[in-house]
Formats: sequence, C-alpha cells, structure tokens
Amino acid sequence: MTRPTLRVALIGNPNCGKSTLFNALTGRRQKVANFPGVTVEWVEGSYVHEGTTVSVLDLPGTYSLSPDAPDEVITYDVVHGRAAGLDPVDVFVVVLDAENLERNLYLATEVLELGRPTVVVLNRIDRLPAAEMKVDVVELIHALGAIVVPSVATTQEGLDRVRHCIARAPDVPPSDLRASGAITDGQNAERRYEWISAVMARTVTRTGTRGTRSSDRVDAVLLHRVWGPLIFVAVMAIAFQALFLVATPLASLLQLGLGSLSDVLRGVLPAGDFQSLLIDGALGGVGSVIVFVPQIALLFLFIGALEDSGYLSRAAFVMDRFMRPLGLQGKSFIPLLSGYACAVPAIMATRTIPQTKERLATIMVVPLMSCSARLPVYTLLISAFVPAVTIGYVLTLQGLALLAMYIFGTVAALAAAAVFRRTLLRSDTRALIIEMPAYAKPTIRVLLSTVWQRVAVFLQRAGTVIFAISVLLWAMGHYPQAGTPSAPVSEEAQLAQSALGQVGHAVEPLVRPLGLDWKIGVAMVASFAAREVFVSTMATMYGVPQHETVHTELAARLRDARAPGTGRPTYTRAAAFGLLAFYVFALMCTSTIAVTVRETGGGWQGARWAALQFSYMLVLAWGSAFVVYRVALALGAG
Amino acid sequence: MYEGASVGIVDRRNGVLLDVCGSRLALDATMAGAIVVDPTPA
Repeated sequence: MTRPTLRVALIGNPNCGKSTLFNALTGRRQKVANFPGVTVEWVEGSYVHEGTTVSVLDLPGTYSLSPDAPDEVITYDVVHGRAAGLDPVDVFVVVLDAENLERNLYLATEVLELGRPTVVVLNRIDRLPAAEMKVDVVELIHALGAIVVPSVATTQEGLDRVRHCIARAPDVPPSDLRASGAITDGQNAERRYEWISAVMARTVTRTGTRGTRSSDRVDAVLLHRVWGPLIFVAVMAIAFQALFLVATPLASLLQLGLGSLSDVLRGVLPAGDFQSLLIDGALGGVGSVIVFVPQIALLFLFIGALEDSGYLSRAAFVMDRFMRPLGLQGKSFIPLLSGYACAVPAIMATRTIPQTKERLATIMVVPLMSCSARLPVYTLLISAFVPAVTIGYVLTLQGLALLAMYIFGTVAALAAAAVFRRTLLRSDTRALIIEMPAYAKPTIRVLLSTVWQRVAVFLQRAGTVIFAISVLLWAMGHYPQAGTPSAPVSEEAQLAQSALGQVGHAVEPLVRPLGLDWKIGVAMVASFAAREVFVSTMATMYGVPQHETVHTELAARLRDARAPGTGRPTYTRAAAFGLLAFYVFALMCTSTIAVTVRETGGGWQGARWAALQFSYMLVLAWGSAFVVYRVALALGAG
Repeated sequence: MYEGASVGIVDRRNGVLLDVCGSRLALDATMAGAIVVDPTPA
C-alpha cells in the first residue's frame, strides 16, 4: 500500500461546496446537497498527482474556528492536530463561496493566521454574473497573501490548477496576516470584519444594486406564516401521490421480468427441492423486495430534489413554529425529514444541533419517521386492504392511505419528542438561527448519482440479508417434511408442521390479540432484522409464483386467505390496519440501532439509549396495533 | 457566528430574515423579538 505523502484538509463554511470539490478531486461520491450541515464527520479520499499520493479530508462546515455544534468540533480538532487517529495535515484548502465572499473570508483569515501552507479555492465563480458581482482575484491574492484559485467544483473548472497549487503549497512561504499587521492578537470579530470589509471594497465590484433579490421574493411566499406551511404540506402530498401513480407501472414491468426469469428457470431445472429453493425461496424472496425499487428510487429522487433546490432550510424554518411547543427547534426538522429516506444518515445529521438534549431527543424519535424500508410493507398491505378508488380526478384512496402512514409516523415522532423533552431530556429550547442557501436548480447528474447509490444499498441488502433470510425461511418451511413421496400432504399442512410453523405457533399468542395468525407472526419476527423481510417472508410462506405481478398476487392471497374450518377471512381489514400501525412504529433495523449506540456516546451509555429507543418503539407499536385493531373492529372493519 | 458583521433586514413578517455579509440568515420570532438595537455614538 502506498503511504500518502501529502495530507490535505478541505475547510470552509457550511454549504460552500467542499464535498463537491472533494468528490471532484478524489472521484468519491460523498453526499452533497444544498443546505448547511450535510457533512457531519470527516471523510477521507485520495488522488495521485505527478506521482504523489494526496490524501484529502473533507471536513464538516464551520463558520469560525470557535466550535459550537459537535460537527464543528471535529473540524476544530483536525485543524489543531488533535483529531484521534489522524496524522497532522500538511496543506489546508480553504473553500470560499464566491457569492458569499465577505462571510466566508472570516474563517479564511482564521485559518491563514495559523501560518500553515494554505490554498484558497474561490468556488462557484460561475454564479457571480447572476449575482451581479465581479471578484478581482489578483487583488484578493495580494490582500490575503495566499494562493487563490478560482474554481467551479460542479463542472470541475479550475480543478487542474487546484491540484497543482496543492502540490506546490508546502514550498510556498505561508501567508502571515499577523506579520503584515492585518490581524493582531486578541482582535475581536468586529475588527476582523472591518479588515474584511476593506478587502471586499478592493476586490469585489457589484455591477447591480444590492437590494432585494429574486430569491427574496420567493422567500416572502415560502417563509410566510400561512402560505409556507400550506405549501410544504402540498409538496409532500403531491410527492406521495406520485409514489403510487408513477411507480406502479414501473414496478409491474419489473414483475413481468422476474416472472419471465422464473418461467425460464422452471423450464431448465428439473422439478424438486433445488428448483423450489431457487424459484420459491431465493427468487421469490428477493424478487418480492426488488419490485419496490421504482418506489424507493422515486422517494430518493424527491428528497434529493428538495435538498438540492435549497427548499429544505426553508421548510425547517417554517416548521420551527410548530416544533417549538414540543421542545424541538427547526434544526431538528432536517434530520426528521431525512428520516423519510433512511434513519441512519438522519441520525448522523443531528450533529448539526448544538444543544445536547435537543439532539438526543431528535435521535430518539428519528426512527419513527417512515423510512424507505417500510415502503414495501405499506404498499403490500395498502394494495391488499385499501380499495383502489379514485377521489376527484387526481387523488387515490391508496395514495392517501400511504400519506396517512407518513403522517402517523411524523406525528408520533413529534409527540415522542415532546415526552422526552418534558421528562428525561428536559432543558430550554434554543432559539433558531438558520442560513437560507441560495436557490439552485438540482443537478440531474448529482441527483441520479444519489438515487443510484441509495438504490444500490437497497439492492445490496436484497442480495445479502434478504437473500439469506429467504433461503433460511424456505428451508424452515420445507423441513421437517410432513408427508412422503408416496403420501404427500397439502402445502398448508406441510407449512404448519415445519420448523417455520413451529416458530409461528410459538409467537402466535403475541400476535393473536392483534387479529393476526402465526404466519404473520413469523414474518414479523423475521423482519426485526430488516423491515422489508416481511414482504419476502410472506411471499415465501404463501409460495407466490413469479408470474406476472408478485406483490399483486401476494396482496390477493392475503385478501382472499380463509381460516380453515370457518371459511372466514384470515386477515380482516381491521387486523391489516393494526399491522400497518405496528410497522409505522416498530424499530426493525439493526443498522439504526448500531448508529444510535454510536451517536449517543457509544459503549454502555450508547447501548442504554439504543435499548430505550428499541423498547419504547416496540411497546408503542404493539399498543397502537392493538388499539387500531379494536377500534377498527368496533367501526365495522372486521 | 456573525459577531461584528453589519446586517440588513430583508423581511420581518415571520421572524426576521437578515442579509448578513450577502448571506440570508433566518431568525425565529422569539429571537427576532428579543433583538434590541442600540444607537452607536457617532
């Protein structure tokens, strides 16, 4: 392994384009988005320049070297060589957002004061004409006494110069703002800004009037006390309708493909256990989850578009008013909304919340937000038990039911946060100060890259965890065999006698009060490893053939299942609604548990928080399922 | 984080939206209501 010979750290204000530059330099695919606080821990990548391996650290954004939030502490530690497990940095690369130069220069002066080799990258120079600004780069070089490289990280403009300057930086005498008298010891922020203002006057020319921007007119509507929240709800409603309307035809196409593959395998392989294992077990289980890729891709496309447009910070500000009575502030809203995609990065995103107890409360409730792994379960149960009727011209009852699941999760998360903030995590709520990033048109390339990365993670889970569980469940469902080749028994009898059936009967007392049978009990137990396993387990247990539409077929089988003897439906609508409630609230994700342990302090302290999180969500899930089932029964949904 | 910077008010119908060194900074209503502006001696 080549030892890195040059260690570089990217430093800059939040949302100035550090991660985009990092990706451009190293070829990595670190998450980027248009709101402050996307990067919350250091990430390392590397590239080779003229035979030298350059190791690059992408650091969380910070406004100054006086840290406030946990993510800013990481940057402070790296800059001062105190980060555990990291070698000292050779070259600092200060990334400046050219559009917000005055504010960005504050941090730049603090870094330049350190007297270490530094390269200043003037990023986003392509936005200057629209902002009616011109920057005199030569004058800026003179003022800072440092190397300044203009660049557009998104299009990789100026990247070669950046690489070249980084390589030469150790040989260039570092800027010394103290020696030049620009900065003096103990200088306060006001004096520093005075110096920056003088530099701005020499380097920046404004070709237009510095008054109201077009984005301010948009903000007047989006941040409005009444229109702001209404627009947010409308945006969410449209998105969840689209998930059902647009993704369904795509999912049907995937199902057709899987059905054809199944037919081919059935024609090629001799009938027997191996054929059944491959088609009913592996392909049935994995395929039943893969068909949800279009829904999941659309969900990530929607969240990615929100992030890249700059709307997310606006939504956080608008929602602050509603979250404050619950003990949270608007900054908690971004992790909560990210939880719609996946709880793991959402929990990490809480590092931008400076107040410890607010952050802990947010971590404890993030998994209540309906993540993408719940989507297959929701879709299956809603398809099976909610009529496919249209309301008006555009709304569908199934789409509204899906929206309701997300609303239940969100309301539960906010209510749970209120309880935590009034009991275990009581403290004053900090006032909200949040930066509104400039609006930007989402970059298709970046959006598609983000969607692909997320879908790849989902497919990886399908190919590993879900595959393994599907094969295991198939084996448990087929052995021990109840019949003999000369006296075969029905599929139902075989399943009941199998190892899977015995596990199911053991857990049945726990699910019977919810109106559910042992088969659902097995699927619930299996899905504690990963929620989407519920669908594959049901597909495996019901032996759904890979013809035409897997989840449509499975939905029909659930709807039409009849109890032996009585002929009454095995799963009533009331039980299905209760089951939906269970999946809204239950924490069934080992990755989420692991990240909660880490982000709440690690070790025993983290384990205790994670145990509390798992337990309260399980109690909430079972209790809600029971109440929903009983209420629905009383309302005649039996 | 913006100590010492000159600020301008862009909008104050819902909290306050400030122009701080070219950036837009939103403050919630509680904080906006608590701001006291002291005249600086000439």
